[in-house]
Amino acid sequence: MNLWRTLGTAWEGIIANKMRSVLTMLGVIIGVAAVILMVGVSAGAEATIAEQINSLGANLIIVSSIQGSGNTTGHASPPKLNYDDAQAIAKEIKGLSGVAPEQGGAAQTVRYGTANFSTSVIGANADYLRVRGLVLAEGQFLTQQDLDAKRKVVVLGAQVAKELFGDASAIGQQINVGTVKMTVVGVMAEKGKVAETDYDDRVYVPLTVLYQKFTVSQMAANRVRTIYIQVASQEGMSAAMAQINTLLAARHDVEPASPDVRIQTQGDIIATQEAATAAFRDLLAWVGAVSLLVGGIGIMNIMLVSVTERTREIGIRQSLGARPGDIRSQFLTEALALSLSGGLIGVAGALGTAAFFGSLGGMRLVVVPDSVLLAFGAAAGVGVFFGYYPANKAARLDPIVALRYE
Amino acid sequence: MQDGMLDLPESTPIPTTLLTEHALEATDRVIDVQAVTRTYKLGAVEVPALQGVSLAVERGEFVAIMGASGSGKSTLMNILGCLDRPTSGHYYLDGEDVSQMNKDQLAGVRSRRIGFVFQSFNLLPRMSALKNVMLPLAYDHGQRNGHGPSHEERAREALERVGLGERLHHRPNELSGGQQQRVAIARALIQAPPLVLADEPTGNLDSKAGEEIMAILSRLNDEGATVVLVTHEPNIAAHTRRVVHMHDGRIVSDEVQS
Ligand SMILES: Nc1ncnc2c1ncn2[C@@H]1O[C@H](COP(=O)(O)OP(=O)(O)OP(=O)(O)O)[C@@H](O)[C@H]1O
Ligand SMILES: [Mg+2]
Repeated sequence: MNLWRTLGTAWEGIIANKMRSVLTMLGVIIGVAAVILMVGVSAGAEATIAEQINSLGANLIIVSSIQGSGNTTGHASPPKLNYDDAQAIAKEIKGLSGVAPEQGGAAQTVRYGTANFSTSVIGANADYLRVRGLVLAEGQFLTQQDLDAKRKVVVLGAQVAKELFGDASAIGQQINVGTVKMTVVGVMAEKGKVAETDYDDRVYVPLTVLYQKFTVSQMAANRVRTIYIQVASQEGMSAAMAQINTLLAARHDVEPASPDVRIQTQGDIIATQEAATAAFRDLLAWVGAVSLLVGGIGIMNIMLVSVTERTREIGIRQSLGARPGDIRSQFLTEALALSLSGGLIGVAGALGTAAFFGSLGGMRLVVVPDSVLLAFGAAAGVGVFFGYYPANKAARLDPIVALRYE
Repeated sequence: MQDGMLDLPESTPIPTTLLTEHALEATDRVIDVQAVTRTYKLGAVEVPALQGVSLAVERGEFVAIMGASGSGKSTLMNILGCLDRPTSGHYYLDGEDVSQMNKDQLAGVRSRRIGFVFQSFNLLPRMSALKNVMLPLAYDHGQRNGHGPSHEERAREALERVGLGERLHHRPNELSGGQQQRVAIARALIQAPPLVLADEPTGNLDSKAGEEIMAILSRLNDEGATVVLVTHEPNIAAHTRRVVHMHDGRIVSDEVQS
């Protein structure tokens, strides 16, 4: 039997039992679609994260306090990173092009006329805009004078501006941030969410104003949660990191080898993110693999049923000259046709879903070509592997036994 | 058609006791079965369906095998048709010992050298008459490609020869029993096998359809095919020139009819 005729026979078998065939393929369909989609979702998320983190600014060093880190006596000491640390870094370390401390206050309701909106208040300095690679939509960002004079000025995130002012200009307007009257000096361009942080749903005030007006506890006065430091050149990165570590260890009175702050680069954070998504990806691939396995068992089951049902047909074919190999390849091709049809439907389903989500714009799906090949290849492998046993069983039937089968 | 009866080929019954190497001397012997036994094993029980059968059939003969139910006729036919192998003894087909062949070789013999017709037709229900008739061609691994008529043309010709040129695309359940058996015969003769075996080909048919089938088999025989058939009906056996009687797995009589 040549391949086309075998395929034709197999196809007729599938068509003759449409419903059963589709149900049998379901496991493979789901498995293939799952592998492709899940790899696509995580690859999309990964690509988005990498892109957005990269867009935060080049040559960035991120110093953050280690939350809840304790001293040797076992008492949790409050994170020590503070505004003075930031100023010391800016003053003492050479080769930096910006130092941007950041501190978050309690959530506040911002009000303009009758419009009000609850958002988070971030204390920042003049370098913040450039170091974080943020873009203004209009007006200007905070200045050093604003910090020094503790001016009651505020820069609105894109969403906040929209909520309070709609399409009208916010610049120069007086708003209430909590109980404090402040003047809007700038509005940020839209940025969206990066790793759970919504850059549009926040307002920036001078750090000094944050300490004065929006910090409840005296303990928290002067504290910063993160200092973003931009190094002038890529080459200066490692030296700057070492110097920052030495400086902060001295200031905090700890060993440089066991710092009480975390000093990371952009790359470190991306690597962590990637490790997390890679693990997620692997997990999802396993889910797909399990679906394929279940699909394979389904195929094996239905093929065994098919061999039993068609025992007489097998006997007839044998009586007409079919060799064991002919019978084997007929059933193997049938199993393969089942799994490959399932695979095709799965691929089509995955591509359709990806296109659908792509058009929604909500979730980003990157269809990784390798995952399509992998999933399709796996479907084929499943067909051959799980089809072999039933096919071989059919091939080994004794013609007279098969012909007498009722 | 019955005129063919007049020029009978010379064929004498072989006594079951004569067990020499016939294959060597008989050059035109299509079937040469020597002391064949076949024992079915049903768990611990052994059923001796054939208990030493010897039978020789010359090329061009038309033989009927008769006998009571359970006498071993089908068992013998299955061995003659290379669907089964003897438990002991030898079966020379065209001088070749098929009792020693492996499964693939037996399949090759079935594909090219034997046309088998069953009592229950054994057509594939989902296929048209034409497709059913084409089936043996799909399993002929030795066929030359490229020249000669296509598979479909050959199948159509075969169906026309059994008078079913108008029923090419009918499925078995759209045909009468007699028509189904004619499709089965077309399928058996599409490879022009030298040996045609038919196990009760008219057993499921009324006498008119049975006569039609016998007319076709007689014509095949006239055209040179060796035909062996099993039947319970004397008037069917009357179409043949030699009748072999079986009883309890043995051949008890073997006579040429005049
Ligand atoms: N597959 C089998 N397994 C076990 N015993 C079998 C098998 N086939 C046939 N037999 C036994 O072998 C004997 C001969 O059977 P066979 O079918 O050859 O008879 P038969 O002459 O063709 O009968 P009938 O005229 O009813 O078709 C019977 O006793 C039968 O029960
Ligand atoms: Mg029988």
